[in-house]
Amino acid sequence: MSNRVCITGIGAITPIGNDIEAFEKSLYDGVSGAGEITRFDASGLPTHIACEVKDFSANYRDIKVDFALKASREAISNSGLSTDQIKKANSSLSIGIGLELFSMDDLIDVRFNGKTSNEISFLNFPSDLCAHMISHEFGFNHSPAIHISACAAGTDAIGDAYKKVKSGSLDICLAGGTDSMVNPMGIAGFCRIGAMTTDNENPKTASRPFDKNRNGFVLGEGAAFLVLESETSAIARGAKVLGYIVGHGNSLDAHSVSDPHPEGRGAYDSMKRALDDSGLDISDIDAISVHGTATPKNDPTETYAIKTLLGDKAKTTPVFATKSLVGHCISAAGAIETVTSVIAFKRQELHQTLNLDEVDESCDLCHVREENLKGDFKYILKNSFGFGGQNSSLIIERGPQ
Amino acid sequence: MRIKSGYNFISSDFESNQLAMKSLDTEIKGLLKDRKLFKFMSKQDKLMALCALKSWEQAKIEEDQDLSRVGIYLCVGILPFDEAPLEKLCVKSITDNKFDIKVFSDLAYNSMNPLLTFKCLPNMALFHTSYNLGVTGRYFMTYSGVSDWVQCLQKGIKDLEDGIIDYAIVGSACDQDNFLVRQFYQRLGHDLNKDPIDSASVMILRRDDLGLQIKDVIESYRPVDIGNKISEIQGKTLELPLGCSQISLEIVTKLESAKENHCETIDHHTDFGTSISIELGGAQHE
Repeated sequence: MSNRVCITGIGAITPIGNDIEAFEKSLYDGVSGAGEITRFDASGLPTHIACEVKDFSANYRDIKVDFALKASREAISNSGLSTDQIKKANSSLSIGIGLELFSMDDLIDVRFNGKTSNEISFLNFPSDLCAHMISHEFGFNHSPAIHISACAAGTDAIGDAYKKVKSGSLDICLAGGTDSMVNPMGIAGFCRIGAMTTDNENPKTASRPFDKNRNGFVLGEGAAFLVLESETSAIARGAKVLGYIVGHGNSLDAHSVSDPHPEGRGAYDSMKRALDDSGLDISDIDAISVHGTATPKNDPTETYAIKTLLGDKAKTTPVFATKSLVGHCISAAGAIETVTSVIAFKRQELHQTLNLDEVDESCDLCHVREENLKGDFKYILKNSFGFGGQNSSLIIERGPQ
Repeated sequence: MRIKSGYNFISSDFESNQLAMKSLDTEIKGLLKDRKLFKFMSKQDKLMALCALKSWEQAKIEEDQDLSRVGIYLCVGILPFDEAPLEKLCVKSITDNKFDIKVFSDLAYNSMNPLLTFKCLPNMALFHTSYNLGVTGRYFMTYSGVSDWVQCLQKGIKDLEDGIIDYAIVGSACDQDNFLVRQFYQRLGHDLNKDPIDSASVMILRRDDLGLQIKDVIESYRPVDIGNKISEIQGKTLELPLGCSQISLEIVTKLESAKENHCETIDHHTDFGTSISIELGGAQHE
């Protein structure tokens, strides 16, 4: 049994908009989500800027739990699914999620202030609990799949959900990712390995994927979810189809603990596997939503892999980098960027890669820069590449016009 | 149909843990493709990599096997943090016994070893396994309990059935004898606090028409209301990584003792509301 996999709902909370409508407006207005970190005083660290979610109050100490709940509620609401419909179908959740929130305050209270671990909320919320909370809220009846493949987790979660719906083991799957590492240990850890930009004086222009003067990523945060549904189920309830997932592939670099394979071997493999899974040809791909972190090594590697895959077509296939606006949202990145592709199909318009003033000669792709690009887009290839050599790619198709 | 062609299990108890970890270090160092990467490995990474390397060797995989057609499906435990480096960070982050971000930024940050970042990432177990085996195929990386490990098993089986891989490495590893986990158990008054156990398990599966078989994996799920029971549930989630190894062991033990055409079932229930039934078939021949 093989089903066509429809996208029937989307939801997002991002550094440039706390719901889909606000996010879409900011994407196409070219709004950067970056600024001085407000959640704690990061001024003494080498990097003290990030793309934070704004005007949002959290109920849980680990804010990514709140992000996940908010974005998943919007996606389910947008799909028009009722709890009854979800419970009657084979339904589940597939979520990409980051680490437990590590609290230095709590550790110090235990170590130096004689407090027992009973008195504090030390490492208060293992991330997998978030998955079961969402499952309970919507009444899913299959175990959630929890993906922790770092920066590839959101895309892996969507790919996994796609395969389960396609094979018929699920009718409905809420798929996406959530993350926030905007905390002292998160920021310090990334600073210590030199992954983030230190362009603190110019936060709005600091995230510059593929630019000659890029020098690392700006950390982001947020969540996004998509409702994936079999075409049979979507048609039966008269759901509006926003798009389709038609291919997924992932791969392992097996190369380096920190660096991507210099020729993008793993990146190439994941894109090729997604393409093979979809049954499409490279000539069908109309645009690429790149991983595009703005780190010195990742962007040329992704460029190399895309050029290897597309050949001459790389010169004319538009690519756009959402991280230039929202930063690197880690486990949520792939989900936010997939939602971006769904919005792009609706508008038939790709947002520009912000701050791409001078394309690095090792990143010579057909970038959407300086202005948004209108066109006729049917298939978008979406990439996410994780620290430690985990690579994941999706192929997304536009919905009925 | 699937055949188990290699498996391995590692576990250590609380009292002998220091000795076991020394042995773990010696053993894994001897097997690493690049010994320089040893310093990047957390205990959980070592447990997983060692178990996978031993299983791979035991399975006697053909030398010319295309490693892009091997998939890795792993479940790891939570909180794999070392005590010593965090203790050091604490000492260098306080004013009047309170966390002080200024002091953290000045002192703790500068004393922070970049390796700590690598050791804290739970997905690094996947890197070390893939790197040392040279595997570049599909993957699934999850945590932290039995139902998650079952998803690894199901995904490995599905990829085998779809013909996109020849072998599936299905594993679990958990670093439970760890100061953060112990704090957690203590807070919850959990029995495992007295005897935390590190463990790892790996099974290597391949598709075949004959031999020992995992015939089916069936699950049902009724999500529990976590809202008012977070503390209670947290205790349960920490038990689960060990459960992965126990079920792997049970599968292998039952398969080995299974007679021709004899079927056995392993049933397991988790506190999150998942019930699992793994149906095993007897060996025709291996």
